[in-house]
Amino acid sequence: MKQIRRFDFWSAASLTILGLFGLFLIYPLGGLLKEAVFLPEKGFTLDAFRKFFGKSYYYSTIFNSFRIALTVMFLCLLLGIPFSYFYTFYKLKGRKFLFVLCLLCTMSAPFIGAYAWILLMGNNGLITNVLKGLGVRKFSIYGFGGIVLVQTLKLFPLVVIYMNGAFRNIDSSLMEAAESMGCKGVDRFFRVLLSLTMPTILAAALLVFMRSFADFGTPLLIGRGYTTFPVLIYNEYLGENGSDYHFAAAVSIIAVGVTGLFFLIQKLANSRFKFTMNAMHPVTAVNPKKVSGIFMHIYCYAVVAISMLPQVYIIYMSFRKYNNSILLPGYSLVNYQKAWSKSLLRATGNTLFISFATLAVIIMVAVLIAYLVVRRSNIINQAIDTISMLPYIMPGAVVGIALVIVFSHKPLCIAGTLGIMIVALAIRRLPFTSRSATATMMSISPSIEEAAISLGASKLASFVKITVPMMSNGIISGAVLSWVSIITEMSSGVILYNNRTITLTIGTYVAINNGVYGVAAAFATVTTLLTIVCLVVYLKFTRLEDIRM
Amino acid sequence: MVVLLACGVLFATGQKEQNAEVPATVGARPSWARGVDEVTGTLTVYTTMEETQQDILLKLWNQVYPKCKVEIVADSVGTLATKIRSDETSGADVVIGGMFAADGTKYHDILQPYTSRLDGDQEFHDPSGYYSFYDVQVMCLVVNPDILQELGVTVKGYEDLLQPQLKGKIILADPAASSSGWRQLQTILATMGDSFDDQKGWDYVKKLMAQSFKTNSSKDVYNLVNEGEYAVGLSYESTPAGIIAGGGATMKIVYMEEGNTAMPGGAAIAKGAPNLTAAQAMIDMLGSVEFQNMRADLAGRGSNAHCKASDLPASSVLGLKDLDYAYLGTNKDKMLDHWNELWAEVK
Repeated sequence: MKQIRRFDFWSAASLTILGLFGLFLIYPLGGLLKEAVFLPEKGFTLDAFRKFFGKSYYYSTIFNSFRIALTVMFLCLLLGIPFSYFYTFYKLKGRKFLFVLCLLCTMSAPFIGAYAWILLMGNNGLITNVLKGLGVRKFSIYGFGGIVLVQTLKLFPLVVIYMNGAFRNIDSSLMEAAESMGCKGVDRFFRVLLSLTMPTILAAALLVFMRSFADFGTPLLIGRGYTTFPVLIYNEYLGENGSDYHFAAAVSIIAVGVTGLFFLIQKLANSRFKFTMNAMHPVTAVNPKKVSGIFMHIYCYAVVAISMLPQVYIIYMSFRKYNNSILLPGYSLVNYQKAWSKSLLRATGNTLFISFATLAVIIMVAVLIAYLVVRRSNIINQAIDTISMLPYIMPGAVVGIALVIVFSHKPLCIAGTLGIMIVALAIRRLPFTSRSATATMMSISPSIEEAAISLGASKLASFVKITVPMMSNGIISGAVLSWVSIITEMSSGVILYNNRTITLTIGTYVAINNGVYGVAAAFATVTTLLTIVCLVVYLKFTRLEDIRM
Repeated sequence: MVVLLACGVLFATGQKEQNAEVPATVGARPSWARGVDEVTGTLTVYTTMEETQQDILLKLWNQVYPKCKVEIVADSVGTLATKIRSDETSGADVVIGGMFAADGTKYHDILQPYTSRLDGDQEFHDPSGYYSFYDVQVMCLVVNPDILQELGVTVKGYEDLLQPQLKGKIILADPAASSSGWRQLQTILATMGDSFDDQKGWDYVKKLMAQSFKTNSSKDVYNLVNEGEYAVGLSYESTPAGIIAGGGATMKIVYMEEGNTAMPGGAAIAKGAPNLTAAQAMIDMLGSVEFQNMRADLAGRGSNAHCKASDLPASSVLGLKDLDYAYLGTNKDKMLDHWNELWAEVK
């Protein structure tokens, strides 16, 4: 007979989490769906979907987004895998420094990069004018090429971070075995290394695809008529004359469908590569040969330098003299002064508050989910696990609109508060943190807890005093990177913010939008500084090798 | 420099708002102004105003009402309206800019009626009693002389924009997304056809589309022309004129030789404004000679009959054509659909 479990702390926890998901995830999604297919005057209708698929102006945005996301995905793998290979298998000079820069590249908000590239390579950009002097004229940073460039340089470090982990998990005896059978060098790289790391490659590819697909700032700034899906959603929702919530909701639903489909395809592909490895003998980095060593250094440093260029240029621009949107000769602190009068301080405060509160929420929820899924596997907890992955396929703009639709009126009116920003960000980040927490949990043997319980500790006490500390390394390394992606997140925030809940990233966006570019640069610089400080503190506590997303 | 100084002043006053010792500008208070102690707390302004315009607004406000702090949320009017609609706690007190006589009742759901103390001095009135007009908007082309010279073309009006050298060098705002884009479409249709909204006017629009890039933000139009990204932009007048007056700009303004249109634009009090007294005081101030003269110095056409003329060319030389507001109000969707279809066809 099945043993009936007592209603304990864990049952309460799983019900609470389910309730939270119901309120902040399922309910808003339901509201979004209703808004998409229901009009007060017409009742149930699919006219918004008909409108979308009826005009190429609308449905072509799906193809645009797909083309960009796929191109960016392949380019990121192309840039990231060799980078990570050189980084893991060879002793490069200044590899710590290299990796920190690599992390920094991925930590700026993408639209800031887009704006910097316009300053550098726009029709009147710095580099453009130099090239003009040399007689080169025919190129454009705008549209497809520009979006791909900006996103690739911003997202390839994700591949590097993922692949570093995977390459380190490869047992060197496998490599030696391959070599002894005559499979060496490039051949070995393709036939052995890539096959062994295929699950990670697919996971990284999916992540890059989703990030690129959902990114809204970059195509908005640099797309110049090349409209992508999130931009369409945003324009339909917030456009000056055409605010059409019904249609925006329908497009959001289609967006979730499209990303969901891609997610399933990746899952399917991934299931073909199921194997476990145990790296008893991790690879040790060797000194590269002379010629190839020079090439590796040039490659890694050039990629990082190009990716860092926009951030450095933005910091420089923040000290240039501006009269609102007009750039004047000379340098000054006027941008910082103006930014100060535009609630720089409040934005910084909000950013710190929102990010730490969100982090606290997601860590708590993720740890509980991990425990429930791994130790208390039952239908409810499996459902929780599945639901917690749902936000993975929801672009930020969709999360933002869904929340606004249900929480902008009674009974639960939290639109316009810091609370809704925290909810949005927690939803967006939860799948990542909960995945890594679950993975960590799986590696902890239940026997340790059982030992504590047999010695008289309560279940809760053994969890708090034994399990959580054992998980903390894995959690902290994931959390810090979550923190950074929280402070640079804007696609949901831009729909939810107001003057009281403005954050640094949104402040930057607003300033660019209003044409006060110097102020935008000042906001962006403060964000970068904050990120660097956080990264430095983090590296004091973590080994570089443990970094994961 | 002046603007820099103004920023400094604003910066200083902004920091001291909690400090009761800030000396109020005593002496002759303007007749429309309420008591210094009457207008306090925070006034949340949702505005389409560009920075230079915000600067003068804040400058005068802080002089007249030193005890009331202004918070600004700046964006395009559709975004502002959506934000107010979707956020009961937005705290919006007034919406300044982006509201035109031809908009009809479009924004009435988020506004409340108010008649300014200075309504009698104004040249334009909103029959519904919601909007208070402080601005008269005429349209213009902004050009980048350096690029025009490089391309070897001159631009005096709409017809000149069809020169082959200008292909891809023209930026316009999407009329479906931006109020100034919609105003430009009205002006083109009023000046390029034989009668408003006729085939001849749309034929021109179609040819212009083939030459142009479309943005969603009216701010892109003048900023990107000024930065040399584009040679010509189809803009509204006041903001680029103000930027040029501020010094340091490359762009120049060209008034279309084919003619122009004018439309009063204004502000209104948000529904449920938390600080109603301050909101009313703001609407009064917008219509005042004091504010409108400051705007005129910076390049803005006032609505107050007593305000001084700006340095802008007199409206009599612009070749103004009349617009039928009722027609615009009822046919807007149809015209925008036509625009979108043509755009899809051309691109």
